[in-house]
Amino acid sequence: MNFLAPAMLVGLLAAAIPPILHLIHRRKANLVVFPALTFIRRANKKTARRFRMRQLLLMLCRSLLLLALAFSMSRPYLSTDALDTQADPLASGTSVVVIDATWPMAYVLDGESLLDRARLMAQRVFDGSGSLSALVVAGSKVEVPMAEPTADAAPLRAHLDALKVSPHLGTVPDAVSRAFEVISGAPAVGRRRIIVLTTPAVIAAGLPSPPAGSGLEVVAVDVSRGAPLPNRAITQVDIRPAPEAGAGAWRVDARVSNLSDEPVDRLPLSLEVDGQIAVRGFASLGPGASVKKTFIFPLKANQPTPAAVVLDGDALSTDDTRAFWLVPTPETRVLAINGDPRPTPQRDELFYLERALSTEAAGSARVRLTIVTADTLSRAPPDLFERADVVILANVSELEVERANALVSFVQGGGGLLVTMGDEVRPTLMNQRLGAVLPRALRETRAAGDAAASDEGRDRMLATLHTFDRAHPILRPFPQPNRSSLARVSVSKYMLLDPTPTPQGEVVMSLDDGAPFLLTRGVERGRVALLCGSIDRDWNDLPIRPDFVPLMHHLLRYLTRTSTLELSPSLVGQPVVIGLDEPRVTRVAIRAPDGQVLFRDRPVGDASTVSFDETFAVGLYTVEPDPPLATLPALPGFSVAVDPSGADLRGRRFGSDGRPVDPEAAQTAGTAELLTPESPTELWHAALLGLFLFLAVEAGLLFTRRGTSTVVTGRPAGD
Amino acid sequence: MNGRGKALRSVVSSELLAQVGGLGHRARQLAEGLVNGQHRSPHRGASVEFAQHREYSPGDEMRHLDWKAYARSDKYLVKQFEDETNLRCFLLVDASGSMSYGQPSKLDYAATLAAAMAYALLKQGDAVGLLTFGSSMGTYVPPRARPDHFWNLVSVLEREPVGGTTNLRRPLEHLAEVAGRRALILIFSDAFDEDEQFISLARQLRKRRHDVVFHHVLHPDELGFPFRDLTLFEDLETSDRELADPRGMREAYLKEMQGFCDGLRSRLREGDVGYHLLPSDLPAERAMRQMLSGPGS
Repeated sequence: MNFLAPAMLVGLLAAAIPPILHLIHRRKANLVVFPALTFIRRANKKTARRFRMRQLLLMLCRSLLLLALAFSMSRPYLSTDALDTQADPLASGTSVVVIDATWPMAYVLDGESLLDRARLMAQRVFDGSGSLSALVVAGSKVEVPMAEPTADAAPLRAHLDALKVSPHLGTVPDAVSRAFEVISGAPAVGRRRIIVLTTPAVIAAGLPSPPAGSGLEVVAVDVSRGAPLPNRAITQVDIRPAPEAGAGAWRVDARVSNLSDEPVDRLPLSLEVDGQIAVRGFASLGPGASVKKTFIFPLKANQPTPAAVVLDGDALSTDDTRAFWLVPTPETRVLAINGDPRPTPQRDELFYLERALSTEAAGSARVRLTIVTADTLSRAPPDLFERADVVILANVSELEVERANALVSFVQGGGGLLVTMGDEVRPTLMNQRLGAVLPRALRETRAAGDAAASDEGRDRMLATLHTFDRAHPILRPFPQPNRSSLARVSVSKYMLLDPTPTPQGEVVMSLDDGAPFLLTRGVERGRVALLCGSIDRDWNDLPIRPDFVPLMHHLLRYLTRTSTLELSPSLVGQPVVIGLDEPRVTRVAIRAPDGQVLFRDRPVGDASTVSFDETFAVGLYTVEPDPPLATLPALPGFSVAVDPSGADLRGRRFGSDGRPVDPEAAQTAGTAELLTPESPTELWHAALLGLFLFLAVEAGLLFTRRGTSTVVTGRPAGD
Repeated sequence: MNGRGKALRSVVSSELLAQVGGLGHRARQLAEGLVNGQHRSPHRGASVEFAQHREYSPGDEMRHLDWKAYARSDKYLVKQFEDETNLRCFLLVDASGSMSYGQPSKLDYAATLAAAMAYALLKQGDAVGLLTFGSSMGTYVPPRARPDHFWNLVSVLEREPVGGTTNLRRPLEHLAEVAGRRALILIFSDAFDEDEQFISLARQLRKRRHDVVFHHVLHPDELGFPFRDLTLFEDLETSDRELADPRGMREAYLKEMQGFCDGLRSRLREGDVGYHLLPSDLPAERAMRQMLSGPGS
């Protein structure tokens, strides 16, 4: 008989508690002075023997009850030692056990992990008398504790006991190949086999075949014994800034997969930031389906903050969490090219835009505005646009061809462009230079109002904003734009656009005569917005309307180039590139989730990155300059997750007819031979049954002790 | 008021206690409030004895005319009777150690009832005596019919020390010697006397035409045995100890106690000795009514 939890056998000492309590209780009997002791003696004489017997039985029952409890908690089982070893095919010959210790083996089935089950099976092989055994572990790497097969099972068992699940994946085939080498050195006596203890998925994926003519046999054992292994996992997480959702906002796209044959309804998942649940969600998934869940979270902190997408726990918890860092989003860099600078501030083209993007007006939005006049643009550095996220052409008459081409490339590469009109704009040149990115071609400047308008009827010469695309992201912050101050904007002039049979982009706002006023267009990775009015008061009074400020901010967020920050978790074992933009940092200290600290030096030369490939632990890694630099903000860390391809344990393999092949049938012949004697007969059920029996007996004894009795009668009637 | 007097507070009704202070007052109040007008001496006719003749004068009751004397002497003579101290009552109160059990104790309870009975008898002119006992003879107060004799009895009952084992035989033997002519003998005891000879003595007293009534005073704990946990019992009289599990032996105990009470009752009744079982939690008024209702069942 063996025990799965032998430490619990210490609980057998608890059997001494009832006798001890009995003795203590006896000493602490209440003393009562009583006159009718004669009757007590007579009654006691009659019942004492029965009382003592009952007490003894009760004590014995309670001791046995505690014994049964401790016994069942130690999880006893009848090992196969009792089986006839002569009939056991493992009793002679050489066996090399390849045990899968990769992360899917952490799956908990019927209260024990698959690794524990594999450990038991391996012990069964090692305990086979007269056999030579060896062990090959497929964990983070292939390990062989004993170079040659041995008859001494003790060191192998010790190694088995110390075995832990590794976060790596896919080392089983290499381990099998290594097992071939180990067994080739053993004497060719009896049966020689490689026993692979792993999941059905690994078996279904295929194992290396033994060398031809070697006489080796590979026995692949599904440690789950064909039991269904349903699993839900987070298989992918993408993180990117979401300026359109507000300052400092991040968008987290988590892909959740239901790797089972049963549908899942309203599976809880959440986004945790700094250990607190920030956003909750649910996912309903069909069998084998996956779905993308998006979380938007505005990060207020000014330093990297740990976060994770967490799935409601299941039998395999390793893939239920994806940790990552959230860092403060970078500020939006805006380059405004002023085509109509004026010495009088109020008349300057960018006077109102500057105020709208100032710190006082921007609040928590992080905007850095740089202004260049159109006249000095030729003297600006050639990479001027690359230093900005958004470029604003404010009433610019024309651009040099090189600048225009650079601007088009900037937009195509993911930059944002806002073009606003004014008297300086020359439609023909603008169409020539920027026609590739503009939503529509510019035609001519047009005064608002009808042809009959006169100076006296000036009101008839003004147009107003009339139509709004409320579904457009720019207008999403305005619940009712037609009731906002935008609807009261008076437009005296605007840029008429060329009609086109294939319109590009979207019209966000239109005038009451139907002419587009604000348009947007996506150009490859970038975005362009065209405002057919001015951003000063020359053509309209939009800049003095209260909604001008939020409109500009949301417009800039919409146009902001998608950040290239890489925060999504890397996979275990894959190298991670750490950016070192700060030239003062020559060496970094990397702290792994398990507390280990590793150092990396900046490569010689002008390299601004460091490669780190010792990603052997799952979780969050921190990166700090070594030695620390006080003035340097915290460096962004990185995160490492397990390879999600191991999350599907079902081992479903498809035959030529396209139908799934039963994983049990896919096992190599001889598996059942091993499995049958391998299955231990667990005895804790019987121990629990005994426990209940003792409980029932104790209850019966206690019940009979109470009995039924009446008070002595003889009182007067009516009492 | 001594300790026993204080303990009696819970026995008698609160209205009664508001009016009285000591045992004597309580007993008197108990007897007057509950017994007045009800008590009739069962020996009134038998105890009234002829004293002398005197000549008839108008107004005498015709039934007292002695017709035989008239025949002999041709004179109307009226029989004159001695109407005092015809009935003598002896109160035997057990003051052994076992009577000290309970709060109030069984002895307190018995003393209250005995005093109340004494008051009622003295009030109608009967003579009342008192004999206390434990393992040996206690205090003996000869019967007297004077009204102030009540306070003598109360004084003894209040000061009687408690202790010793129960021995009913010796007081009854003593009573057989001093009782003389017919008397009423009221015994208050728990009867925890291993020597059962007192029963035959009581029956002998009855044969001598004494009226004997045994008042069996027991505490509710003795009758119901309410104990639960493992208990070490110590005897009040002998200090012997016995460890017992009350829950396991309660039924047997109650059977023993029931057998004891039933046996005592039947054996006394066989000798025409009255028997009353008086649990000490029975209100004293009701106990008095039970005592006056007859020799008991």
